[in-house]
This record gives sequence, C-alpha cells and structure tokens, in this order.
Amino acid sequence: MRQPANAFDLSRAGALSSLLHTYGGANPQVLQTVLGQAFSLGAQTAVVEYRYLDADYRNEHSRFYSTTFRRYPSAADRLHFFTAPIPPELFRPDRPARFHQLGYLGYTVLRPVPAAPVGRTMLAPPPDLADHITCRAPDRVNLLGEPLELTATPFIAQDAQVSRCAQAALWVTAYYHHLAHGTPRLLPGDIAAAVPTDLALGRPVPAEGLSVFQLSAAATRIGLPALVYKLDDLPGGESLPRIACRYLNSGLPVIAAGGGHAFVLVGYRRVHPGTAQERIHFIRHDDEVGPYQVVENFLLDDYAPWQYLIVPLPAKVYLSGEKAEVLGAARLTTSSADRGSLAAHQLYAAITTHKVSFRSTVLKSNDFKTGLERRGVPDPVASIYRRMPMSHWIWVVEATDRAARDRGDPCVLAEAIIDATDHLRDLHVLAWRIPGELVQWDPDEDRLSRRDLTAVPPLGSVAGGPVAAGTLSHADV
Amino acid sequence: MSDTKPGRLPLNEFATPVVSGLEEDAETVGAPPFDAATAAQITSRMREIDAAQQRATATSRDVYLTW
Repeated sequence: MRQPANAFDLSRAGALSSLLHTYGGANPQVLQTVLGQAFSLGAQTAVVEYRYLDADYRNEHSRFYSTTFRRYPSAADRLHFFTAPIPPELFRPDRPARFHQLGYLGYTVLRPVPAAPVGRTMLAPPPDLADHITCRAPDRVNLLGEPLELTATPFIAQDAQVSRCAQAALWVTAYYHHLAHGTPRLLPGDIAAAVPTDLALGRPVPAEGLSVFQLSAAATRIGLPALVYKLDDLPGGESLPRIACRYLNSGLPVIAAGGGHAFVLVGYRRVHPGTAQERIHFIRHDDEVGPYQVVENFLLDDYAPWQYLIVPLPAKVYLSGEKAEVLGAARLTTSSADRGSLAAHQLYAAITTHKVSFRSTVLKSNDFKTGLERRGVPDPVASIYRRMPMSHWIWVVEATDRAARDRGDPCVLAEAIIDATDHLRDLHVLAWRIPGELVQWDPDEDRLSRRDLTAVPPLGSVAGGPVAAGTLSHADV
Repeated sequence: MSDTKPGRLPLNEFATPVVSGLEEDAETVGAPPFDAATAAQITSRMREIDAAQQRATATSRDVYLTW
C-alpha cells in the first residue's frame, strides 16, 4: 500500500529544491514563489498529502483534462507547511498523526499538470505584510484526520486552459467571498461557464482571455456584480488609491487590469504617512507570479498603466462607495454647520479646511455593532447603535482627523451610517453622530430621533488597520 | 409611536419595552433629508459618478486580458 503522505525536513539543504524539481514541471515559477514564501515564514516541515481529491482540480479535470489525448491523473497532491520540526511519532503506525501544535502555515494543491502545477493555495501572509492584508478569511483543513485552521487570502495560478488571469482573479475573489461571507463555493468550471462568450470571438475552452466587459459580466453571473472604474476617466476628486483603498478597507478584493493582465489587490500599506514621501504600496495576488506581491509604485509597475479597477461586490451592496461618501459627507458637513455647539462648529471648520477627510467602509451591520466595544465607543453611543435597526450591509462614512490618523491615533470624529440598499432617487442617512448629537432616521415613520451626547473622544475606525490617503473636500459635495 | 403598529405586540403586564435611547422629533416627520442647495449638489455629483461608470462600460469591451 502506498503511503498516504510524506514529511519533508525543509531545514536540510536541498529539500526545497527537491520539491520544486518534483512538482515544478514545465512552469515552476509560481511554485518557486510559494515555496520561497513558506520558507521565509519559517517552514521547517512540509507534509505532502498524496492522492488529494481537490474539488477545483477535479473540476478542471472533468471540464478539460479528461478530454485530451495526453493523460492527466484525476487526483492531485497537497503540500502543507509547518514551522515545527517533524515529530518522531508521525512515523509510528499505532498513533494518530498530530499536527495541531506544529505551527500550521497553510497549503498548496499541486495539480498533476506540468504546465500549471499550482492550484488552490492558502498560505499565511509574510509577517511584515500581515497587518496590511485586508482581505483575509479563515479556512479549515483536514490532514490525516486532524482539523487545522488558518487565516489567509486564497490564491490560484491559472492553468491556461480552463482559466486565464481574469478567471483566476474571479476565482480568488469568489473563494474569498465564500470563506468570508458564505457565498456559494464556485469551481473553475463554474466561473468559465459564467463568462458570456457570445460577447467576443474565440472559444471558451481553451481559454483565450477575457475583455474587461466579459470579466464584469461573469462577476455578475456568479453573484458578485462588479463596479468598473476606468482609471483615466474617473469622476473629479477620485483617484486609483482612493477607490481601491475604499474597498480594500471594507475587506473586498479589487481586481486591477493593465498591460493585458488581471490581478487581485488584497491589501495595501502606507509608508511615510503625512510626509511628502507618503506612498501607497499595494499588495496583490498575481497568478503568474505568486501570492502577496508588493507593488511599491503602481505607476511604474510592470503592468502599468493600470487601466481598470473591477470591484465585485456582495449582491445587496447596491450603493457604490463613491455615492455613499457623497451622501455621508454632505450629512456630516451640513449637520455640523447647523448644530449650535462649539465642538460641532470646530468639526465644520476642520472639514472646510481639509483637516478632516472622509473615509467610507462597507460592512455588515452586525459586525459594526459587535465591533463597537473593540473600537472604544462609549456605552451611551454603543447602546443606541446596538439597538438600532439597520440594513444587512451598511456604508459607514467617517470624518477622520488627518493629523491623528497619520500619527496612528484614534481619529474618527463623526460618522454617518448609510443603508447599502437605499433607493438611489430618495437617499437618506440612517443615522449619524457629530459632536454633541446622535440622530437616527426611521424609514417606517420618516421621522428623526435624537440624543444629546457628552464629549466623545476620537474613536478607532471601523476599517481598523491602514488608512487611505486623500480627502474629499467640502467643495466636492 | 403606537405600541399597536403591525409587527409589535401591545404592551401589557408581561411586556417591558426595550428603549432605543433616542427622543423622537415630531417636527421632522416627512421632512426632506437635505436643503435644496445641498440636495442639488448631491444629485449633480451622483450624475457625475454615473457618467464615469457609463463611459467605463462603453470602452470595457476593447480591453483584453490575455495573460
């Protein structure tokens, strides 16, 4: 009987090269990146799970690899990485294999396709990037009967037959939404079938690439209708970083298209905030290179100029971030101007002099409510928000003190909460807080309710982590 | 707000209301959310955003992602 798995001691010289030689096939670059990242994470052990029935590869096999003259096995292997050395009891047949205390780093499925070996991959991000990856989701794994968990951003390399870069980008997005939000699990064949092939010449299989239009249409058909931004023709006041960071802050992957390629932005980091050297480093999954690639300057990127951003959204987020921000900024600006208190007028003055910027994040209202304590929201405010009826998805438009934000301090001075399903021709703000006052609009009665507040200190953001640069000025609304 | 609105049980000796913590403002019933000038600015900005989306759609058929 063939053994079910092998353990590799990665601390031994040549172990990684041996794996790359065994599995790299005719196109080893992506696997080389994955192995290198695992090693950088401190992987000392790799366990190869043989004859792994991977749903994604099995689906690709059914759709394409079972139809060719050249034979391809229908089962894959899966490679798991651990930080701990190989425990000796792993080789004792009278004891169950135990992995849960070995520092699980993730896995990569290895297709038995020499031209495209890297299949579904969940690998922990590099430590220096971990806090900046905003699109991470928990995944559960079973290895020889042992349940394991990790939080990562899904990755897959295109196989160039069922999927090209655009389909791989959609797969990453769809699997992430499945893990993070419970949307249906979609396999490569499902995504290929969602592409409207009557909108272009050529054949769906072998895949020949997609237009941005087809990519967007496929996103709609898989239940994640996309907003599409043409980057050289954005509305005034908007920019690539502003738009991308708005959705990344919301934990929504952003597909970027440029140079004939599509890749997925999964996070970003600001460097030198508040200085002339301030820059945004995007972090992307590039299916032709590997996961968690840092783009230090998107203007000088290999795929520059980036031409489009495509943002697949949960179906019931009807309102775009740009529109939510217009509405929320208008509400906070006019309310702070109208409120007859010194603190509110100080906010109004800060808005009009650009010391305050607006930041918009879409999230589930239950997550907003459960996160109030963590963000240090005082009880009188938290108790009102927690009891307030809200739509499932809400946009939270925050007025943030730019200087405090750049220092990394709590910076939210006010916020407006917007129903992500609201009617585009009758937009209301569900609730807002400015200094001294919290107001709720009741859509059933079409009336406002209020409460006077004592001073609330600057709060942490609903987006947590990094903050996008730029402001939406008072003049814009 | 009436306690007998559809979807809410009438209050009786067994029920205690959970308060919202807010005071209702009867003067605001049916009031427009923004003054006319702000509403016009919002509408104008929304149209600008919609127009950019439409222009993006119009050209998106010509950009191929083939890698």
